Amino acid sequence: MLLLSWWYSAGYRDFLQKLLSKLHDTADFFSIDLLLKTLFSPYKQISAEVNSGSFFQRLLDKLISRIIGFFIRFFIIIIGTLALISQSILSLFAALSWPLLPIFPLICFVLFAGGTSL
Amino acid sequence: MNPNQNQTANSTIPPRAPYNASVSESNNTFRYNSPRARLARLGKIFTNFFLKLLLILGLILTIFGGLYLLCLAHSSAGWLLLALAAIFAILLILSTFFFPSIPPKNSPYIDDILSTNVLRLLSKNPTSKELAEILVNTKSGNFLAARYGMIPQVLTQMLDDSVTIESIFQKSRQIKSEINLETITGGVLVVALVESCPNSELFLRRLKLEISDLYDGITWYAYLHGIIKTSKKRRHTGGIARDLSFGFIPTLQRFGINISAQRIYSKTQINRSSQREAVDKMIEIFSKNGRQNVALIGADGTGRSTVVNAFAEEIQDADNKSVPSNLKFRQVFKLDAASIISTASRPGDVERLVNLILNEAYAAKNIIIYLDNAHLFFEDGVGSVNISNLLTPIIEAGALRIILIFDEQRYLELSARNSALANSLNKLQILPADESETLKIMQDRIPSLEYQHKVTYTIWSMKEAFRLSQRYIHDLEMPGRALNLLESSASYANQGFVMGESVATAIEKTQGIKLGGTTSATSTDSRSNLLNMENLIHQRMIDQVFAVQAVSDALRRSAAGIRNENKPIGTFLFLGPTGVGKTELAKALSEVYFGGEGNLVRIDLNEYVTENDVSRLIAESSADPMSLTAQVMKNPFSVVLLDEIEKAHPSVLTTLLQLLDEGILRDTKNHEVSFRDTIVIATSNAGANKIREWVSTGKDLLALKEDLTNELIANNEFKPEFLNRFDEICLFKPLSMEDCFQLIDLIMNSVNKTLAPQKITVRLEDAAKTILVQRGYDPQLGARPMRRIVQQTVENSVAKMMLEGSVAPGSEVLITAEMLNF
Repeated sequence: MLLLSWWYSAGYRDFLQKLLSKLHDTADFFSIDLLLKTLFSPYKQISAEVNSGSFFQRLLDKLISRIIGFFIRFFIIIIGTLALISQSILSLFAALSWPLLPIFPLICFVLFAGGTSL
Repeated sequence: MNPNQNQTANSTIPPRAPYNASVSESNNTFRYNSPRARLARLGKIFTNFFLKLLLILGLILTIFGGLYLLCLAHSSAGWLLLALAAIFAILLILSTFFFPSIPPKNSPYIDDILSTNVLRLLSKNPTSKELAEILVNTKSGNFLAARYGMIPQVLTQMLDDSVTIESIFQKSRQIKSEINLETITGGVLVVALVESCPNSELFLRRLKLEISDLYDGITWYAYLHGIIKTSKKRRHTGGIARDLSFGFIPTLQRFGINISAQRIYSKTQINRSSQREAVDKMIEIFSKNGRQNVALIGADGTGRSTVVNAFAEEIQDADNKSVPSNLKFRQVFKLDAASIISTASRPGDVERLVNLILNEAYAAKNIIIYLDNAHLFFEDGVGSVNISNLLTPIIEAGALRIILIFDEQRYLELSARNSALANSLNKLQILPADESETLKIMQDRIPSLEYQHKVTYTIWSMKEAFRLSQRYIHDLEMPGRALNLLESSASYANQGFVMGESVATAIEKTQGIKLGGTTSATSTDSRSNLLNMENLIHQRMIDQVFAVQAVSDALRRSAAGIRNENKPIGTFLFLGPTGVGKTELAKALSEVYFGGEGNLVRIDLNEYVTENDVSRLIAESSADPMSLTAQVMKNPFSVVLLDEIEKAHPSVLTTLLQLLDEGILRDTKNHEVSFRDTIVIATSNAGANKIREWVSTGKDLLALKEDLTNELIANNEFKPEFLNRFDEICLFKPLSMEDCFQLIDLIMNSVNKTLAPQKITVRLEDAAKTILVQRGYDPQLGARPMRRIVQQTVENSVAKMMLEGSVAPGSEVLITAEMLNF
């Protein structure tokens, strides 16, 4: 009784928290919100110094840096989004499996007894 | 109690119902077969590593086997294997998350709130004795055993028949409720057991502990447990985007150290309100418009770097809501002055390099420059570089975020030289930690020290580290000085345990301080020495019974603890003619009380006759290692002999007033030097004639003391406030002819001691002794001529005989009257 009550209360709650925490870790790793905020910023702030070259040279320099930055960030955003979606699907599956796990052996026995095969 | 510890306990442990004192007696009876107790014992099986491994292997095999049978072999037997896989998965989950810590139940029964570790160990009908023996096998019980000496033998000794297990359980409920713990752990039961014993106070006193120390031990364990739990969680620090959006800094990376990168997965515990306030203030200053700098000012060891580390960690923490977004993920870079200076070969190179670094930091947009020992960047001289012209406008403009660390003295010097710079700094003062804060900081640091040095620190080591470092380490402030000492004590651990003695050894070895005296008063030998002090002293000197008695009584009082801890052990003024044993008594004391004549710090005050000599007396050790303060700093357990005090300049005597009164002196660098473990003896020939006259009339010397003191004050030889500060003024009477016969024996003893390596013994014939006394006795000069005459006659005769070969090793030389009549 104690085991079952733990499984469907504190145990399940902790498990869901762990799943959410893992999603949070992945979101932090790809930091998509920060990438979006800085999508058009120069790549690693690399650009010509304020006092060097003509205005157009500096503008071009910064523009190239911004374009490089955009592509790199955009690429990471795509990968990050895909990673987050797949992890969310897996987490949802795991979250649904937890309450079914204790009765899963029983289901399997019934299916075996019924001679069910794929 | 540590506020942080409370925080951790509260954040990880849900609040419990208040303690209900009306729990019935039967509820404290352990139910061996309660569901929770049974599950706890069942869970013990899963602590086996191989069983867990087997479960994992079984899970993998059954999943793949089941899927193979179902999908490829199209056999319904695959369901059986998958059923088995589900059972393996359930067992694995339970063994990892449920069985190690079975949740408590909200019920009045004791077994429903005992921790899983304790439940596993209890037998069917546990007794208090059994409990005392098994608690060491729980983690928190072991923690108290290792650090507080609460081992089974001690606990069993404390117990008597009146202490039942029910009474211990009852007490443990109360402690659990007071400390706000989720379950009754082994540690709680240890404290409950101790508190339930009627004679526990006596046992604790023997262990130099108080019950509050044990409570502190439970909180400490819970706190560490909380830290371990928190540290397992991954920190969120901005991920890939953080580095992409900030600049390229090759020069800064070469000449700086990225504190943020070093501390990315660390969690500095801030236990002091002054540090917490400083970190909050730094966040506030750097997140608002205005002067973007912080100057942390405080003495070395106060934890200024800890504040910077904590700040660097907090602004890295994506989950920290108190950090504004414009400060989040900024990198704190410490500039390395030494590497900058070593790279610059031509004049102006340093300025160019620093300029380049600062420009890079500015362009990167995420850098906070950190100048540790910032005075190095504003000074001329070896190992320093003056870039104030470069930095002042940047600091004033607030264009770049900068943290500067100064010690108080250097900051004052800087503000005197460059007031514009000093005025543009946001100053934050970091004060030294007090005792309770230092102990908590030590508790925080101990896990990492134990991991590094593979030792276990006991509570006594912590207390001793605080006490000894406060008294004898002067170049750092708290908590740095105690932590340094604690760390160096690891090398002197005894069988892996760092005890109070390990700390004492560490301070002796690392600071060159002799602490022999700290324990001498408590050891059996020393107790016997103290009880027989008069006899031991009289083995070395003649007569002066009153002086010896007065000194011995004062020292016995001190050793028994009946003394003011904030004064020297004893302060004595020895008055009397020359050569009567004043210095000899000081030497005898250093041998009897401190275990050797090496523990005598002798200062001839006839060398301190001008006002300027005060600075020589209290010179800092690096300037003059033979100054009074330097010698006592190195050898705090000693007899301080201030010879011929009447010849010292009045300013010197005024300086010594503080020493006699408070047991401390400050050296020229303002370091406090403790004299609280010294015996201070001042000698003077003042009043010698009066003593001689008094004794010649056959009167008792004790009766003269008051008259003589008044006379010395009236003659302006000593000021009353100076004489009043001595514990005892001892008068030494001149030696009589009869005393000189005994003195000859003592001198001959010392001659024989010198000749002992040659295995030659010298003996004086009675007639020879009389001749020597007649020749050597001088009522004006005391014992000194006697020594000289023995040297001239006896020692010379023996030396000649040895050179002639007439004395063989192992023989005895008899000195006759004829031999002396040459």
